[in-house]
Amino acid sequence: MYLKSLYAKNFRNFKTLKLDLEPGINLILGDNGVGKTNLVEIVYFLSTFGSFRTPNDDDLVRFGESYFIISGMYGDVKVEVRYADKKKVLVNKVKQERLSNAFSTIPVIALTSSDLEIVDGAPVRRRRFMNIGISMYKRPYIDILSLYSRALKQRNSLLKHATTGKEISGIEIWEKQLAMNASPIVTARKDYINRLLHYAVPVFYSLTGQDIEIAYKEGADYENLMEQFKQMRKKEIERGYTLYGPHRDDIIFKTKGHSAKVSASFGIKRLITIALRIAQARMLTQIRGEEPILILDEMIGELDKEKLELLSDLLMDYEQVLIATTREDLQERGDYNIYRIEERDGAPFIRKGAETIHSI
Amino acid sequence: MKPPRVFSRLTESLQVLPGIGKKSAERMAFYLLSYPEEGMMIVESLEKVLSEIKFCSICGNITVEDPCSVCSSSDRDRKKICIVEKPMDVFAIERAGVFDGLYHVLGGLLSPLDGKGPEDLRIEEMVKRVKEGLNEVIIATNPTTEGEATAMFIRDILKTFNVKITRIARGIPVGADLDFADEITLLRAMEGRMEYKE
Ligand SMILES: Nc1ncnc2c1ncn2[C@@H]1O[C@H](COP(=O)(O)OP(=O)(O)OP(=O)(O)O)[C@@H](O)[C@H]1O
Ligand SMILES: [Mg+2]
Ligand SMILES: [Zn+2]
Repeated sequence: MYLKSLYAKNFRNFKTLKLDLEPGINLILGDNGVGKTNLVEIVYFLSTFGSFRTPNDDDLVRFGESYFIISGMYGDVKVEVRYADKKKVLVNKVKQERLSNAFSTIPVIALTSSDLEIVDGAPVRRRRFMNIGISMYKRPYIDILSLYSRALKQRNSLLKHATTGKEISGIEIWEKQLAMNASPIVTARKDYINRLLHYAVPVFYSLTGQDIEIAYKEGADYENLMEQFKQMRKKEIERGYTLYGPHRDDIIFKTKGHSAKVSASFGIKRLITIALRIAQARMLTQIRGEEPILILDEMIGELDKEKLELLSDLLMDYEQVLIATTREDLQERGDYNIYRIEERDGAPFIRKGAETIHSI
Repeated sequence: MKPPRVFSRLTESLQVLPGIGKKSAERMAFYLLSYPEEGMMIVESLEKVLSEIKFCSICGNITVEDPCSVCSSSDRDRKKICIVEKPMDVFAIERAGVFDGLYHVLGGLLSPLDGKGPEDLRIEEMVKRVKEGLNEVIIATNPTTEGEATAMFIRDILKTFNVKITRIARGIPVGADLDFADEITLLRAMEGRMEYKE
């Protein structure tokens, strides 16, 4: 299935947007700052109910407005998000009481420039990569994750108000809650990393001729988590928060036997990121039995000719791909659908192929 | 210019309600000003509720007569009690008609974030009832983190007594509220209850 049409009102720089999309590769061209990323951000938001650029949904509301509405037709499924202070998600016009139930109804994998942080950034970035990846095929994971985070907040509040050397009454109850939810989280993540590795190795090899290793780093002694809490009580009270658990897990990427974060070149880091996203897409295709929509927001701008060729081949496997780029020469590469965003009187206009201008 | 003092007093008192911040309080206050009859109706029912409703001295549910109609009924299985977080949960289970025993309302859940510990719940009263001799205690707190933690806490206290402890089944989606569960879901949850052990 593919995304047939998009609608947006008051999203970023779009006042109103109505756009039909095509299967195959859709090339979104335009100068810097015209709204290319904003357009693919809509698609990503319809899938994950969050942006890849900001954790703050208010940033997405058009300046001076108080709400946004976006929707997309994926096959004959309509997903709509309305935001005004709070997020409301509707699938085929039915309001979703629980966002986790509607997560990834439109399966989307996005490769964006902020993805470099998966290799380069703080551990929280890699945990988010896993969390979103797993949630796309295992929705109860989202619920368990939120039970875990809630227990974590509860325990942290006890630690914060505790005094060293004194018993914290009732803390074990929260530790049991943490341990109970930690175990399915860690199991799901390890399983995910194992499977992902299986898909990432050949993709990375085809892009670089090198091997990649991906390892899961445990943020606690999960066999004896309750015992670890007991032994580290003093340290945790001093810090005022929980130091052990899935919220401290990490992933380590290695090329040539060394940590990529520490020693890989910028170009290699980028290729790792690309390989990870392609691997995610392949894995999702396998598990869900449907191909995700691929989004590429830049990231390909500086690839050399040969790599670009390889990547284009990899993209052929997908029913629908959206590429946002300033690189005009890409349109000569194949039979792509061209969307050109231009700014007129301070507002974006989209031209589709040689067609009429869509007023927005 | 500041709003009149009496007006700010109203918005401040509205803010003591859970989930009501400054903005919502102001919205409510303006609404009440624009629709004075509705405001007076709220005042009347509030007065009535505050003067007539009390908490049942046995189960802790809200009631006009003490003990409440469930606790004083002769058709109920007095050897079974169902432990819930709040009065609305009792009404939800009663509406579904899936339980014929008595209730025990805790009046909240454990939550350090809100400064709520065991001493803020009706735990002692519960222990007293168990000591008087029961066949089964059904723990029916919601499957949220706080609901699960409280269930575990209760189980740990009660396991030294000679009483069967059960927990309602997870018919209810994780994180959901009993209050919103439909009757079929509640029936399944109650029928599928399982012995609750470590
Ligand atoms: N909330 C908002 N309301 C209105 N306009 C916004 C909002 N947020 C961002 N913009 C505008 O959107 C534009 C940026 O759009 P976008 O990031 O999609 O550009 P782009 O085409 O991807 O550019 P580049 O090629 O540099 O990546 C900026 O002009 C910015 O002012
Ligand atoms: Mg951009
Ligand atoms: Zn009663």
